[in-house]
Amino acid sequence: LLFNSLEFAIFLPIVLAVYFALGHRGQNYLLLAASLFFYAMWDWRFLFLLFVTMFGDFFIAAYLDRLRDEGASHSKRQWILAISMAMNLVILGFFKYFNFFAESLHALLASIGWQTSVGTLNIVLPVGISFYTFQSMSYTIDVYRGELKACKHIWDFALFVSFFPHLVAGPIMRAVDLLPQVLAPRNTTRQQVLDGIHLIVWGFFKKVFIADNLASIVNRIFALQSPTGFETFVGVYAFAWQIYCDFSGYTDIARGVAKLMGFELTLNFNLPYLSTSPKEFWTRWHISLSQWLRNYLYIPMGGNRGSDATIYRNLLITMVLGGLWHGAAWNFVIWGAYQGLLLVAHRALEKPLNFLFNASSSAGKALSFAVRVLVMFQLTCYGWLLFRAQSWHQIKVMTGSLSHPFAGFDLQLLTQVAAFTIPLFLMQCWQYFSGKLIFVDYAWAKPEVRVAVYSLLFYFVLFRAAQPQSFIYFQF
Amino acid sequence: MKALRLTSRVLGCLVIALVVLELCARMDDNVTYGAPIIGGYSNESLYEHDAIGKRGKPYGQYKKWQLNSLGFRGPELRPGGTRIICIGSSETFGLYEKPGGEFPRQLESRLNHRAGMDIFQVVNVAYPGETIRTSTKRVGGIADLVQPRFAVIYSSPGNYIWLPWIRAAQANPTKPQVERFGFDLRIGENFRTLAKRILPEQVQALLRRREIERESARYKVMDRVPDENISTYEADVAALVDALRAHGIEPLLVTHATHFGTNLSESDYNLLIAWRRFFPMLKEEGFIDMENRMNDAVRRVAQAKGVQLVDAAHTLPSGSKYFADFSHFSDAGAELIADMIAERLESMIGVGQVNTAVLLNE
Repeated sequence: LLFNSLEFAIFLPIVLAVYFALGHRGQNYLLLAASLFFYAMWDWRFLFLLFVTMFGDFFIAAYLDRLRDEGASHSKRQWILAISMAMNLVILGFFKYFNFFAESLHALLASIGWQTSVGTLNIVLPVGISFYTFQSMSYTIDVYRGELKACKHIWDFALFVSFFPHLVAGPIMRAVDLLPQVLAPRNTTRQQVLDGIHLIVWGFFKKVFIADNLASIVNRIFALQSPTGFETFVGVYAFAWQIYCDFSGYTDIARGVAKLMGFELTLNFNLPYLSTSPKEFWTRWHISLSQWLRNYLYIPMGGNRGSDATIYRNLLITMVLGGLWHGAAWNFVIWGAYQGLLLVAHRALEKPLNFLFNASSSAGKALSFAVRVLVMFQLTCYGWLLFRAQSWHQIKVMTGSLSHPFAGFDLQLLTQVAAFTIPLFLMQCWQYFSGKLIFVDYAWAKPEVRVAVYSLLFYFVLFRAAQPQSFIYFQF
Repeated sequence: MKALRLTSRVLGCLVIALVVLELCARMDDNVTYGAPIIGGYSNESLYEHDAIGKRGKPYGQYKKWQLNSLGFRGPELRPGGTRIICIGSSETFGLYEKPGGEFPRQLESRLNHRAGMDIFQVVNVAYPGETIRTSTKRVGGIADLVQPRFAVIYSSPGNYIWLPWIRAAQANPTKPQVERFGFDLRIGENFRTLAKRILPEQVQALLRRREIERESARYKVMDRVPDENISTYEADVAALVDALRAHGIEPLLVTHATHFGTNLSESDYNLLIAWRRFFPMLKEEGFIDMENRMNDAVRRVAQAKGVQLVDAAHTLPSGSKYFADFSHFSDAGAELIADMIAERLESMIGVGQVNTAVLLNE
């Protein structure tokens, strides 16, 4: 079920109508059934994998909890945790990375003159597998660490893993944040309904109007054999906004739908293109993944402890694996490495950069902020080129064309992209400086004003949408 | 009192939503097509009515459809060259194709491409709903204005399913077929288009079936089109051929192709229901039979009058690749029919063999 489909427009009101007629236990069973139905609409066969993850981690976590209570040895508990990790990573590795590693191995051996017949399998990638696997893993790890007691009710845990608004594209919720919401009775407040509607409408606007319209421009440019410098620049800028609106649009809808049912999902995007450094970018972009990587990978590896070289190594490993999480392709690995290098470079140059951009006057501070945002946006956009490219050859061709930014200047193309992005960027600037992520201020906006704003947005969603596209992050 | 206040507030919000959506639709039409913000805007703004019937309004414009100073779809006429007119209905006028993708435009570019220079002008003189009978009456006027050498006739036989409509149009040519009110909600049209795009085929078929049931109560429903209609159509096609030749225009007849192949799927049947919405008096099964018999009539006229024939009904592949609905072309369909007609016209004209100077001087 796509959020931007007629089927979902029928599915959601039915679920909501029944949801509010039930008590807490009934609501949980309903949501679990709805979530499994939601997932089965993609491909019912993959429900089996979801069940393996859910039941496997539920029983392993329960056992870990028992061992802790019984005072079992640390190494025994570590072994049990390793079983959970292995189970999750084998499933994820097989379905997502088997062909990638098989092909890469074949290419590597061929490059040293060793011809092999490494076979690949016709494997379909189960939708959302990276998201729900990470979420389920975080639960077991938290129980192992003693940060969380194991869940006693298997169906509540199943709902925590499969809760449909965030099942296939996040945000990746930590068990400490979501499980208590599943376990305790929920009362949807008026504010949650207002925020929920707002997020849903705004999310649809970003996804259907902005992202899908930009997609047609981006697809055209990235299909060119040898784009001009100008086309590359515009194509990459367009993709930067496409992927942002696509993914954050999905998250907004997910958070909005969850709010209608009284749940609070974590904020996943916080004006990322107004970041002034790579470090800040990763606190604003795909926040739930950044936090997962930090909590379960970067810190266990040592995090910021140790020598500079150790920290740089930790950063690079974390980001390369983060890149690989996105997809089984070398360009994602390169993109991850690039992000890691940016973080390393920023860490190494933080003091001189702070000195350079240090300004005392307000005008100087504003200029310093603008320059840093502009530079960071360019660096981010180059990362998107690596992310979106289909091959190493395309990366080379497009990177080469960037040295002639005005070659093939096309005012019409520029206007098309600017029409979708500039108003959004200006609005984000306003959000940034006003500190309000929700742009309809409920303090002054009467229902009539909100209805007018939402009608305006819905006009663009319904009648100015491009060809519907699947959400980009579904493939991850 | 509280309930009353709540109801009035909800109603107020609905009115606000409607007003905002309508304003957006009008602004959108204005920015995209230059449509007036205040006042009516419908496909009727493309037409006017004279003593013969409906015709294109000079410089008429509605959404992607734009008419020239003569009221024909396409660019202004250029001096010189060889002119070819395309006579027909909505299939020829073009509905679903991108602007410039309708088959007359594609025919012109193909002919000129093959000739190696811009010596051919194809003039699209068709209008949606135009019958062969009204086309015949317009031949004189078109011949004077356009001075064509050839005419491609791609007629829509569906217009002859119900002869009383043809007679009524003949009796009252100046009366618009569709009465319009002074004020239309433009957002309504947008929602109709959206519903067609997103509603499942089965749901649309169900809604159409209900409408047909309601409408068909006004007519005597037929299993098949009477022979009288076929012979009327045949006579009208023959009369058009004669009228064209009387003005020195050589016709080329094209049989009417549709989406439907030999075996009908459920989806095909749903399309027949969509077609029947326009002719509720004929049962779905009757449309295929009507097409076959009407096309036979066209073939007979071609043979009897010695007119060149492109048998599109026979040669054009069926299915949704070439048809956007039951009989209107997709871009690919328009391209294919233009190819077929261009090939036959080239053999009639002798492109590549004839001295192009002769064509240029015409």
